[in-house]
Amino acid sequence: MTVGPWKPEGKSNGLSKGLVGLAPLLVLVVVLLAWQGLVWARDIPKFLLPSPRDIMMATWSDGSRLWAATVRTASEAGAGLGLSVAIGFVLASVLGQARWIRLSLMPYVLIFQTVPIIGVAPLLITWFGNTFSTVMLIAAFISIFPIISNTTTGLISVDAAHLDLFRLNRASRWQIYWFLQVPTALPFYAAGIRIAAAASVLGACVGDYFVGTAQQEGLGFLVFQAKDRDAGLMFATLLALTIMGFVYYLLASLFCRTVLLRWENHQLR
Amino acid sequence: MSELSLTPSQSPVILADHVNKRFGQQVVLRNVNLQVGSGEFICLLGASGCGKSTVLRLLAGLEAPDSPTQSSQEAPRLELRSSGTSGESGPRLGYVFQQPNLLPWRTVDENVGLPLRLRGTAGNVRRAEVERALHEVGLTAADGNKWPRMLSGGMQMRASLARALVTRPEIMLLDEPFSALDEVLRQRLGEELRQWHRQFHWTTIFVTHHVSEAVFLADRILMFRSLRDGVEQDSLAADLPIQFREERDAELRESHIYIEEVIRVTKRFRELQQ
Repeated sequence: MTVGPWKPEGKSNGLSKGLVGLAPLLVLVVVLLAWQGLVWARDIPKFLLPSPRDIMMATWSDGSRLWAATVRTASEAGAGLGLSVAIGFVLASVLGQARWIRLSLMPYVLIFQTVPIIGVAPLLITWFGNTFSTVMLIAAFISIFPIISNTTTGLISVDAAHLDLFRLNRASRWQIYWFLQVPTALPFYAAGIRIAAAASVLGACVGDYFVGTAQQEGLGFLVFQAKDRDAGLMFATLLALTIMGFVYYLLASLFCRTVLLRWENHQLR
Repeated sequence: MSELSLTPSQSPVILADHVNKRFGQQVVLRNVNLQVGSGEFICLLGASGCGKSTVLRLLAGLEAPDSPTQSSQEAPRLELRSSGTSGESGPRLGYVFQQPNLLPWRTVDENVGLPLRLRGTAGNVRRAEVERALHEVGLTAADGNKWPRMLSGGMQMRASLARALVTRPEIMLLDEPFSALDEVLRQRLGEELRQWHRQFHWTTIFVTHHVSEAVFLADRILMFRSLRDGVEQDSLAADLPIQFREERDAELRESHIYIEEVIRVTKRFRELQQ
């Protein structure tokens, strides 16, 4: 046993730290076994509910196809997210400048947000064709709103006393923006990026569905291709999408943590 | 008013004339007239909500005085003049807030240097001035590298004072800066403030609602009354010179003359509240 600082929760908690880390994995194993058991016991046909074994088999046999689709969708989502992270910040910066700007532009930002993506996708295809760019734009379209909305809120959440300090020192508009508004908004921006990361995967998936062809299939296309032919592959595709959304969220969180070290450590604890 | 008083040849450094301020329907200040001579230490004393902090904000340009409502009224005047030859448009101003008001995402060094940074002062000059300012207020170079939240409340207030004096101000405006600190710390910082005043010759306005603090610090106390609805009174109620032959240090606080002065001013203050 190693000697370390005494922690009250270490005494009362029955599970050791290592075991607690394994708990989610344990849950997964139990669920998979129960699933497999259910399919076997009830003899459920594959097209209704493929067993975990069927899904693994499909992943194995269609591995390269699945991988290519995953890379494609991941790139589309990544590019779309990058676009919304950049453009969202610029737009929020414009909105954060003055109340009259917000009053005159915010209704259109909101309307823009409520336009259903299903209606916009065909239009984007007309403009940009069945291309990578179209899917990227759809991913950006879906993920940009949380960034604009959060960042704008952050930019105008400046502490009144801080603003007094800047005005006393005759700070320029640009200095107030750069030294006060942007640092105040960064935690809000980060929260927006985390939400946008998961949304961009959803956007890329929807985009794939509209744009995909046999030559360029992303996961969103593949999942519908597999629907009637190979339920195992369909579930494998779904799994890939889920993992991708999760990984994107984690990456975005990690990125934000690194960038916001000063804020996480010194303001939000 | 002994050696610190206004001599006729000396024009005031801070001047307010016919200053009125209302927020919405609420009259906050009525007909404020005040003059502060170069190097004077003035305390604005008044109950909470009497508008004494607003005077400071008006002087600093954070608020604008009301324009006259009738043509018979005279236009307000608010002036801060440079006593020396600073070469700038106005006098350099130090302002200390009620809270330390440090930016949490910047180190203490960066916070103290912020006024210079906003003025575009070169990096090496800035570092030297920050080092000097930290030293003046009794903070170490190690403190300078810390984040504000790692400092105690008293040390945060010292950092805030360092930020106010980093620009070598001629006029120092302090808005109840020590009110959140414990009594011992408040007294110690008051004593140090008078030392800095002697050293830097700031023309100083200090806002407080503590009678003993005002008596200890001020050469002159300007007492403010809380305005009541329907009563046409000026905000400024009394102008009390405070004179001590002794130095303003910890010893003074135990002297009879100081305690008697606190009692005298407290009496006046109580009369005003009735």
